[in-house]
Amino acid sequence: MRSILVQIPSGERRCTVAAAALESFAREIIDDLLFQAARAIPDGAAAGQVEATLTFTVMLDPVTGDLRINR
Amino acid sequence: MELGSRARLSAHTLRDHLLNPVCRTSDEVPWCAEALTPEWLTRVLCDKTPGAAISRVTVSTASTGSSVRKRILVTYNTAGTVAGLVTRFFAKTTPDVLTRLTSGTSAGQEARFFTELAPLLPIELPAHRRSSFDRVSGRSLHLFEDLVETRAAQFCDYRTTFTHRQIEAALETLACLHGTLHGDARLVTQFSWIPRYEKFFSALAATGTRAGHEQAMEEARHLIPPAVYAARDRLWPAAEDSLAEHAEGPRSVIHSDVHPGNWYLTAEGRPGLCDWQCIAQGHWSRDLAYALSSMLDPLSRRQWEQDLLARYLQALAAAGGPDIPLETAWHHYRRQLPAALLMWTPTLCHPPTMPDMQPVVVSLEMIRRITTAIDDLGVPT
Repeated sequence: MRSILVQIPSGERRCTVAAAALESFAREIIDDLLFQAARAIPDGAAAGQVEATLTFTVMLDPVTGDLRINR
Repeated sequence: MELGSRARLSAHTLRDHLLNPVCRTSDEVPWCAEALTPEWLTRVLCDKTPGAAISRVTVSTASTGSSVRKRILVTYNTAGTVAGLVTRFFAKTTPDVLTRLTSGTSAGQEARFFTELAPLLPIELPAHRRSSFDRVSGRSLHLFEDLVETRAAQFCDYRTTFTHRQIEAALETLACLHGTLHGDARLVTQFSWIPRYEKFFSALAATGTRAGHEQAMEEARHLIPPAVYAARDRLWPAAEDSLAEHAEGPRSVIHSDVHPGNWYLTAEGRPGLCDWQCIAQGHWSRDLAYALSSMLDPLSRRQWEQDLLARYLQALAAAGGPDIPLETAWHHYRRQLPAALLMWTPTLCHPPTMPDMQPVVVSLEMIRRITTAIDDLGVPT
């Protein structure tokens, strides 16, 4: 499970994500997306375009009120 | 942000499929067999025949596993036809992401085997014509003359019944491979590109194959002798323990994947060995144990293995290898069997980053044969 924490400090309107965590999460999403797309190519075929879908869940931490996006 | 190797190989694979680039100059690496052009093949195959050129290329499917294998039929102009140039070839390529992850990055080793090491070995080998590979994209192509045409060869598989003489000749082939560079100083200089077997094993383990091995022991349970199934938790550790034999040295060059599907028989019945991408520096007994346990049905193996082992040891010494007492060799043979099994349990139940390398029926038969050998020779304690 890969996940990233989206913090919502109480009283603030901004949401924050740690930069290092964001880069790591983005890297893993791109890796998954490209791998799924590459696997979706029909055998031996030249393709016009390839579709790939990723599914995420978003959970609320009931204590802190922060969000966690899970892959 | 630089992406990791899986994303990089995936991105290059997608780009190749979307662009479908063709190759015209011989320094380009074709992304699939269908991308071979008459111009590219003319540069590669007609360079020693003035005036010869290829006018047409026809590609047909042969098989798919750790690489995609295609038959190539070429049509020459008059000069090529008059010169009697070979018209049928066999290409191994890595056009999709799973074959690139599995074989694309090791393609260089097979290429270097055929160009640098094969000339030293007086053994039956496919006639290699060209290898091209690119580590960055994972593209690779190995082009061989089609042995079915040039040597009337028959490719073997798990249904092949090897005669005693044929299996003896196969072991003599391995002995020649193992003995020729046994303990040779060039293994740490000229041939240092051949990876140590432990690296091959750890790369296998790093891809999540242990879980596949354990799942396969359940799925193939009906074929596994009860004592081996009961000792299933000790098999992976036993294979890890057997790595010490490689490290103790002196090392030989080993093929590492000598199952029946990687052998062929020429019209004269001489066995030849193909698929050299798993080549490693290691202990000779790794190949010996794998060959004896996978190439023969258990009945023939039980009947012949003492005699075959003795013949192998004679041939090993004659080829420049060590002089090993039969009893010591028997100990090595027994100890390397779990590592042979680990070539097949993760093939039956592989992680999502590996392709279907073999039909299920082949994996099951290999697991049956090798676990039967483990049962016969003594389950790891």
